[in-house]
Amino acid sequence: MLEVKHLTKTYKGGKTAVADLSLHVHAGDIYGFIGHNGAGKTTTIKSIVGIHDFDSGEILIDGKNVRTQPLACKKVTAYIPDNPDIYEYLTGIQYLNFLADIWQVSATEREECIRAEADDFGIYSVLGDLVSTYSHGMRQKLAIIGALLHEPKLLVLDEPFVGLDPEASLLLKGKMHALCEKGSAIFFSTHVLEVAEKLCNRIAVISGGRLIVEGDTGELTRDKSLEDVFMEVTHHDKAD
Amino acid sequence: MTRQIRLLTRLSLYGMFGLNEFRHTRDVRKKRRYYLFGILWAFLIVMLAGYVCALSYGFITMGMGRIVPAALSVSVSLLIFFFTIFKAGPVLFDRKAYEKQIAMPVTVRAIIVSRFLSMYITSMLLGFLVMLPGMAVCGVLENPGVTFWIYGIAAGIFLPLLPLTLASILGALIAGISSRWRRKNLISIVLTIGFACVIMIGSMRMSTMEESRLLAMMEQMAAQLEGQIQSTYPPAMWIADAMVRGEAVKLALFLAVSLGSFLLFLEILRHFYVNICMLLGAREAKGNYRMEVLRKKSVLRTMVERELRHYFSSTIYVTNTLIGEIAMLILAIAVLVMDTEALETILGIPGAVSRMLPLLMGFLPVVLPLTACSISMEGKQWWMLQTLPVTEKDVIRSKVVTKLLVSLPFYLVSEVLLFVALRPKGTDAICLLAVPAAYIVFGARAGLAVNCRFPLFDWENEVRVVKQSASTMLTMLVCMASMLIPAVVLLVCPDIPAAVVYAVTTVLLAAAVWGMDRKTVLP
Repeated sequence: MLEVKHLTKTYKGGKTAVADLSLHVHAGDIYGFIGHNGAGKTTTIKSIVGIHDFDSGEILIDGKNVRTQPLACKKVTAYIPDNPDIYEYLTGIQYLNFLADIWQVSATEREECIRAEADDFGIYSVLGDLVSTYSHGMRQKLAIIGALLHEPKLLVLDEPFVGLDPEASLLLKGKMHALCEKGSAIFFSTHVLEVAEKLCNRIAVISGGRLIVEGDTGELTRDKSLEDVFMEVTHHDKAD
Repeated sequence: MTRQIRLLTRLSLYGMFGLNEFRHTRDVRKKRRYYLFGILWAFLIVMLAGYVCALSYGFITMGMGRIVPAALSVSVSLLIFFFTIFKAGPVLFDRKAYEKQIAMPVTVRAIIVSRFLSMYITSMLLGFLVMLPGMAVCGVLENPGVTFWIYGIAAGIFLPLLPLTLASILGALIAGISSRWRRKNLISIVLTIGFACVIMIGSMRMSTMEESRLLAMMEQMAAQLEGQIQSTYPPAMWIADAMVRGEAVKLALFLAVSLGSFLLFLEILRHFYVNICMLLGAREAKGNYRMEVLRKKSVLRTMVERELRHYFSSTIYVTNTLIGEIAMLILAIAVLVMDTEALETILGIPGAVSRMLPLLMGFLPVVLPLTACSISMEGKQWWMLQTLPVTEKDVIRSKVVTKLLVSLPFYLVSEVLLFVALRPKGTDAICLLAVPAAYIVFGARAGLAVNCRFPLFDWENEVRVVKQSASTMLTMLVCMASMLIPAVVLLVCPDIPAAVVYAVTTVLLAAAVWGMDRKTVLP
């Protein structure tokens, strides 16, 4: 579903954020992307979803190249950033309707989806209020509902559990599983290693812009915790 | 307290004009943009200085040297008042910044003073840019004493205090009134534009008086002007008396009135400030949503609707970019209700109003087109348009259509008024219809093209985008140039039929729109 091949991204000023990074996310995967602050996680994610251009390499979503067929890639992708800066001047329902119109979701489908998801996340009653009145967590929930509206084939999330209450976190994990069971793939970054260990079937560790470990969660951890593995590989990488 | 004010003011100034980013950025492209911004400012400063010098020289050679200081003071005060009237409210009552600052050990008074000071410092620089060239011309031609310079510089330092206080009072009044309403933004937009219209119409009436008196009684011109300044803005005459006659008491009076009014305003505002800030930022959450029938719309329609909601959610964005359309409407009303001679006197184009009218009607709505900052206004939410499955053309089209929809009602009403007033026929009618329409489309497209080239996403306050960005300034220059060239041809070459000039202008504008349509790339 998502293939990143030899991705390299250098910022103006000379800092290489991502160097020769390759990874493959299959349909049905929940793929955890972990690393220190400034390791290159967000840069990779932003390159995948079309926010950043990159210097070299190739990114394919559902077999289509994000550089040459950006629209086709975006149509099957949904992205939720770490800080949900969404349109504050719209009400919740206007925001969701806007997204549904952009993805051309039918009136019946959007109505069903919004009703069900907003109810599940407990924000149905405030959908008529301006987003500017929402708390951080409520905005996060609204962004998640917006992302689920068109049943994306690839869901990309940057630190999705930050700001969510425990109930909403649990709910989101359930939604992620449900989406994957339908054949979609999920690629997300996190610092919460316990969540990654329990939720993801595949994990990648990035350090200094380079992929240092990638594989099945079970194979990577074996008798250790993900935290131990992470500390081991990142310190080993730094020592190198 | 002084330390708090100093630190907070420095913090505000860091954000202004992107000075801090310029100092610290390592991005060569950004640096280059700031250099261009600097060159544009330098160009404007030279133009302004040249204009002031020419005006002062004119006054002195006509034997009216003694009113130059008063005229300079009035000009600076008016300039500062108009520059700050639309931004005083948003700068003073910026709730987000207030919440960040009040969490620190600083007083409310320090917050208010620091915000006022940040506007004050920029206004003072602007004031000196006008005052100094005029004073230099006086210095060379009139050879005044040393007190002229000392009092002039002292006056220049304190000159912004009174107009800034007045603009801030208006800003506070508008903020105070609109904070009580549910639709705060709308009330604020209506009140700000209302005040601006009153001032615009008032100044039109003033200039009619002034010019007609000028023409009628040339020999008493200086006395007339002095009298008029004395009656409309006495502090300017106090400054003039201090500078020309060395009356220190008048300077002291000016300083006392300026400082007194500011301190009084500060003391009164201190009691209401927190309440206004909180009420302005407060949004009513009803929490009683019931789903109605949802409808599917086209991509373009939904994007335009979002653009319109965004536009009308920002007072500073609307008031600064809609003022041109309102001026167009006022001009059309003036054509309907006033006689041609009076109108020509106001506009300063004797005998040419009918020849210039299509151009004026076209230029006014593009003085600052809303598209000049519509990309930058996306700010931290720009990521959304980058990740949505929409083409660059969709984004560009939605922003251009928004500008056209905003201008359309003003265009239609103004055209109806003009047609009722002038009953034009043939080519005159076509020019009156086509030229403003062509300018509106051109302005929309040019603003967007410039903003795509010079976007600004990292801003804290909308004032930074709407009033201080390179994009708005450059767009204003582009639109002004597009008007000045045909204006010069129309005025300098009366033998060339206006219809020919307008036909060529319209074709060139259309070609420019076509070119921009092919070349513009989103940032």
